[in-house]
Amino acid sequence: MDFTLSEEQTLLADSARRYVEQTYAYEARRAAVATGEAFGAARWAQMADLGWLALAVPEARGGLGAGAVDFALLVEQLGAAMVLEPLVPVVAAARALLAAGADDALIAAVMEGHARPVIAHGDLSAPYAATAERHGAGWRVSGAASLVLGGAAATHYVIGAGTTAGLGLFLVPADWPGLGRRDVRLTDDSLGADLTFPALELPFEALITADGGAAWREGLAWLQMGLHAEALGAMDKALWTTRDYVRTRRQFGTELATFQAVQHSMADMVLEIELARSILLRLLSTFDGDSFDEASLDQTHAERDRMLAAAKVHFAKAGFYVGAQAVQLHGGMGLTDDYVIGMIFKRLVLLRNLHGGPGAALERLALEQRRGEHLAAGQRQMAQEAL
Amino acid sequence: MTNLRRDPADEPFRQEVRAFIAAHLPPDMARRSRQGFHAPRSDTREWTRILHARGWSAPNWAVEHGGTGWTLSQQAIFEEECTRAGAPLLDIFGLSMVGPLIISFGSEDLKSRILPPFLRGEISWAQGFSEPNAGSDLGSLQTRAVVEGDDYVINGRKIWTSGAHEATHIFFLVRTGEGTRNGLSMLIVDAHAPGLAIRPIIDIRKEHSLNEVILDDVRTPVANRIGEEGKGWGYAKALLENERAFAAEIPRNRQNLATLRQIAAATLRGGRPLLDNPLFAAKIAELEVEFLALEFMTLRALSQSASQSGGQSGGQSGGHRVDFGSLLKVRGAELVQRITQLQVEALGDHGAYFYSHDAHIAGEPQPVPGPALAPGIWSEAMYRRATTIYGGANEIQRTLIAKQYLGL
Repeated sequence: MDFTLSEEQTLLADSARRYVEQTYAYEARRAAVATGEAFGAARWAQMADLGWLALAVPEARGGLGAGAVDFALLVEQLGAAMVLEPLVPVVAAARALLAAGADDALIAAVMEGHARPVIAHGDLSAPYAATAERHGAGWRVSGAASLVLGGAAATHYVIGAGTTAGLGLFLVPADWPGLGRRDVRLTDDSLGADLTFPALELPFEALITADGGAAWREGLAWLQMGLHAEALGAMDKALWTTRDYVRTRRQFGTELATFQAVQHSMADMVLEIELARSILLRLLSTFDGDSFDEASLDQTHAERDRMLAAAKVHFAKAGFYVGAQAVQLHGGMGLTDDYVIGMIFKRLVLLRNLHGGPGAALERLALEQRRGEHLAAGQRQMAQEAL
Repeated sequence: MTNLRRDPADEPFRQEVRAFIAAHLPPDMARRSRQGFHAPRSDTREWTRILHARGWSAPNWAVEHGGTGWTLSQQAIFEEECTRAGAPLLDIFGLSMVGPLIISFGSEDLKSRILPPFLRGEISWAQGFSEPNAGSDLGSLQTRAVVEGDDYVINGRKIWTSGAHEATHIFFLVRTGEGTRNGLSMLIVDAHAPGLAIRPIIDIRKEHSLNEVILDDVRTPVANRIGEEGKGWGYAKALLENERAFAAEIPRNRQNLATLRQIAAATLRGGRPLLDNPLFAAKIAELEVEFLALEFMTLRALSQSASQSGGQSGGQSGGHRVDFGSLLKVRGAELVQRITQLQVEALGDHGAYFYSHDAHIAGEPQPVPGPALAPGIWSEAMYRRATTIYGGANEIQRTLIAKQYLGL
């Protein structure tokens, strides 16, 4: 194992940090929210120009083939600014499409910034959002998906629908007749979408794969991992913003930073953040680079699912702690609408409770632990009897 | 280049380690160390001797110093397999603290006299830092050493010296001058030297592991000094930093978590295994998550210290280098306590019975009921209240984090 960043990785993180510092101060985000647009078209074009949309696409498919670690490094920086552009949902959808064998033209359109597919995931604790049946020469797909991140900015939705053969993945243009979309304002001021499609009639070729289980999981894994990386950036931003505040704010004739109670509270913020970074790295260690080979996917999936659950539990706890402490240490300032700290807290609370929240992840881990231990106990028993 | 994946060659290595342990770990030793009671130092020494025959007694040292030269992931695999089989923990004082210090700063003479017998399992270490009036505040220690001919003559008192009564050698931090930065030195002393008296302190679980060490004109050769005179404070800081890198107590925490799951699976509460109780299972899972994060943070720390070349590292955060020691110490120490506390909770009423350490070591059946794993559980949970106190109390570490990481 080697945690050292390559020169390219350092450059990538630095350039993302500079981009955010120069163009995405909190005032700029507020102004973007005030326009009512779901995302900035000019910014999206910039992100495509910078190669960020091609980063996680394998070289064989025309991308940069940089892999999950690079993607997380980039997204961490963007997360610090809580960018409104749906980079994480779109890249996650692209990963699902790649795994599903989507054609190069679509992937090229994503990398160029022209296509913005997102996964119509809905509730992650449910297996998938819809069902599909043959209808004439094509398909009829029925279902709904709520709280689709990036849904208001999407050009396409990747819908996972159960067929008699397995999980079919369908690519549906956002303006397709019969697709009901309601844009919803979320608590972090971003726009998502709720989708309803009681009877969507699709041509046969809307089906990308009839056996899309692994591709669906691939996409959702990238979505969750990306959101954790964003949360890490937001936590880090909260930490250093708070550090600067307690060094300047004076009470009782001295800076807040001189009080040990303040120092120790901030030390715990550091601890939560560095553990979050550690578990994110551990999660990243379970992501395959460019390989969509069945065997290696199967092998890593179980471990990746376990680490996704573990990361969810830790990020939920760490995000809330760091966000809440940042508000606490800012005093009244932390409760105002026009200051970044309150928004970071709101964003971290949103991320915490998304996708089943820490409870569902904890339940999954507990269940697995139970299975594992009962299995191990059986093995110990057999070993004992063999003696 | 970042590489977070394990090497495919690791699997055959794991099988090799597993086979060796299965063939060579004495069953009675495994029994003693599987339970919460302190395994005797004699077990550690004997296991070290067995490993030495295979060239494996210093998993974390370079080959040139008699170590294995293993990669970080090989070291982790070795430790996992040892834990799995119930091998006694190796001498952490020697392997991770005083050993590396001797390698870095000791004279060639000292290295050749001390390191080979240590690797053969002939030396057990104790650490003599704390004094009655110098705990976390080590700079105020008063035990003094004065040169007389070829010897240092040492006078003073040390306290909380773990394992001194079972040690062959003690490394002391003593005063050889004034002030903190230039007034302290590090000396190795024979634990049976004339004038050195070891008085037991019976601890909270009614066992003898802690001691008071009285030094009354104790002599040790000047040649037993580690590095230069007056530089002891710097060495102690390096050593404590190293100690803290291991203070996440990954091997112990892994073992304790496994034990916790076993107890919870074997204990019936309301007619069904405690492990099947969602509330209790969730508590274990929370600790597991903390462990998974902490284990990877330890790897980041070790990777950072392995690549001191100055390149950017995943250890870096927000553009600056991270002092992981304090971070690992705080949460590792707290995790040890949380896991052992939950073990006691899992025992329920059986956690109220007093199990005898002496009977356990002697292999006698405990005359009280409870699951087979119960002896030693309460004892460990009580003793491990020390983890947040020793090696610089957690309060000190949090202040250090605020200072080093945040610049407060």
